[in-house]
Amino acid sequence: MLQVNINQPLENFVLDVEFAVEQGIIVGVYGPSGAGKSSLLAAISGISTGQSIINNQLNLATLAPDKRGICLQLQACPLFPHLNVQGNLNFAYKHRPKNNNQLMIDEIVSLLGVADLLNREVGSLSGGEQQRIVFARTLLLGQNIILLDEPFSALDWQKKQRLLSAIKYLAKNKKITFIIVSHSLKELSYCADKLLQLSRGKIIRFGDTDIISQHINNEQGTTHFSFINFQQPSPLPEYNLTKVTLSQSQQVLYINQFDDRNNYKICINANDISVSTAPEKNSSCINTLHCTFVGCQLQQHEALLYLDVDGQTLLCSLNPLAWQQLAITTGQTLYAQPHAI
Amino acid sequence: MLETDFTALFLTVKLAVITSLLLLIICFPIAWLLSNYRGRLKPYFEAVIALPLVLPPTLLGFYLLVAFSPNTILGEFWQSLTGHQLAFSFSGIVLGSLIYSLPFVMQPLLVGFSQVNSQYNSAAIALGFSARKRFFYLLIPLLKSTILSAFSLGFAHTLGEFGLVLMIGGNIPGETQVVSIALYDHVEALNYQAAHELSLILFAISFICLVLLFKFNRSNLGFRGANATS
Repeated sequence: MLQVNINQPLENFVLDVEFAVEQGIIVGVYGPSGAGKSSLLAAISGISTGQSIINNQLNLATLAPDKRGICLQLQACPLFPHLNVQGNLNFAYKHRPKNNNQLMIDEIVSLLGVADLLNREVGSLSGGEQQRIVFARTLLLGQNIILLDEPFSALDWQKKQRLLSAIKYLAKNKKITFIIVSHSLKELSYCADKLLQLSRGKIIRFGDTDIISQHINNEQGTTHFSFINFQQPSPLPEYNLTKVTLSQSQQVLYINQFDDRNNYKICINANDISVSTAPEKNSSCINTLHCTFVGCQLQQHEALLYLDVDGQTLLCSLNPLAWQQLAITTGQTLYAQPHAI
Repeated sequence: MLETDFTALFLTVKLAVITSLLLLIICFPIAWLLSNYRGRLKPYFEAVIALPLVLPPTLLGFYLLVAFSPNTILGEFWQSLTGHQLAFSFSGIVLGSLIYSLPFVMQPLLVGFSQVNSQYNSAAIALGFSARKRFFYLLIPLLKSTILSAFSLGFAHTLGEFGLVLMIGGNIPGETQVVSIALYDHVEALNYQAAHELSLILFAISFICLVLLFKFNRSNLGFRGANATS
């Protein structure tokens, strides 16, 4: 159990945070820029002062950062330029503490899919490749509490998905506690067990990701999305697609190649769905989901539709004019066509 | 070349090597402390270190002679340490060179430490590396080219020393007569042939030092594959 109790004056406000998490839990920290997210991680890791951090009844507050058993990957965390990629990983592995998370280099390389980068020089890596190696190095440092500050900001969603899935795997199977700061709710919703929403140094919400994510999703000004769970996927390499089936209704979806073995869910942006009251014929869109209209939240420039698909909620964002023209009633059957999944 | 020229050349190189090595030992911890120091006195410390850049070498030499004259505490200490007085001795010109070349060794180290601190050391602290591991396995390897640059710059600058050496050491062949003073002697005696030969050698050594210096500077912070592209 990691108990965090911080009261630390920052430049414009006081960081006043108290929460506790069990071992092997992933906590996502979400909030606007300047909310105190990075300061929170710095305080937990010990690189700033004024905190009470207790891990399994051991008070860490008086210990130096290297004695806490906590590893913080800063937002700007460079690879060491005098070593190549393999050298950076070996460096972390060689200098890990004795009481470590037992992760081996080969295991991490395979889990994150970075084998093709091992012999590269650090200076020749792209931003996204660097972030993958930095993350691999962080894991190999062997700590059981890992704090990540915007770790995957330079990666596309597909690459991100693999790393987020790796985090889920490591939390579940190696009992590593992760606290991840990100400005992307989608990223945190995909992997976090608990979500902590921060604003001007104070906790606004803290709880299960599904609930907190839903609250934030309903707020104006955020990019809306939904996660749809599915069953065992079957790859269709000839089309560069994966066929997945929804568990209750047995509806079939064709999604882009999917290599996440730990997390059978896809993220669908609310903006990437079109709906119709009758099934579309001769459409280029290969996916059509039968769904039931549950409700609509009208905002200034957006109508946010809540649809029930397979017992799961699917959000669809429409222009208010389109919403008026459709004239839908609650309980009506709709046909949703998600693009880009 | 005259035999005295060979002696002067050997003495100059010996002086430059000893000065640069001693300066590295002295400057390394000071640069480390100063790069981490954020107090109000920092500009004053930096100014003291940079003073030899702007002061005339003769001024430095004059006050070193005054400070280390036999009837002062420093002079007595020096006498008990080396067995002879500061003036007209090789150890005297080493001390003078240490002060004269100090900023040339200190500045590259300060820049190197600041770069490593801001980019790599803070990240390594957050990742949980201990101070010992950071120093031996990160700082030293990352600063390898900076250390070589500092040494080359100190060495090259000491090679060309004239006023301060003349002031403290005088012109004693085999003891304090360095190349620049031997060259001055040749010109005074209108022996231009010997002056040309000595100048050419000094020119070649200085050029090689600077080429090495710029080569180390290019491989900034020990980057591997610095020219590689994605």
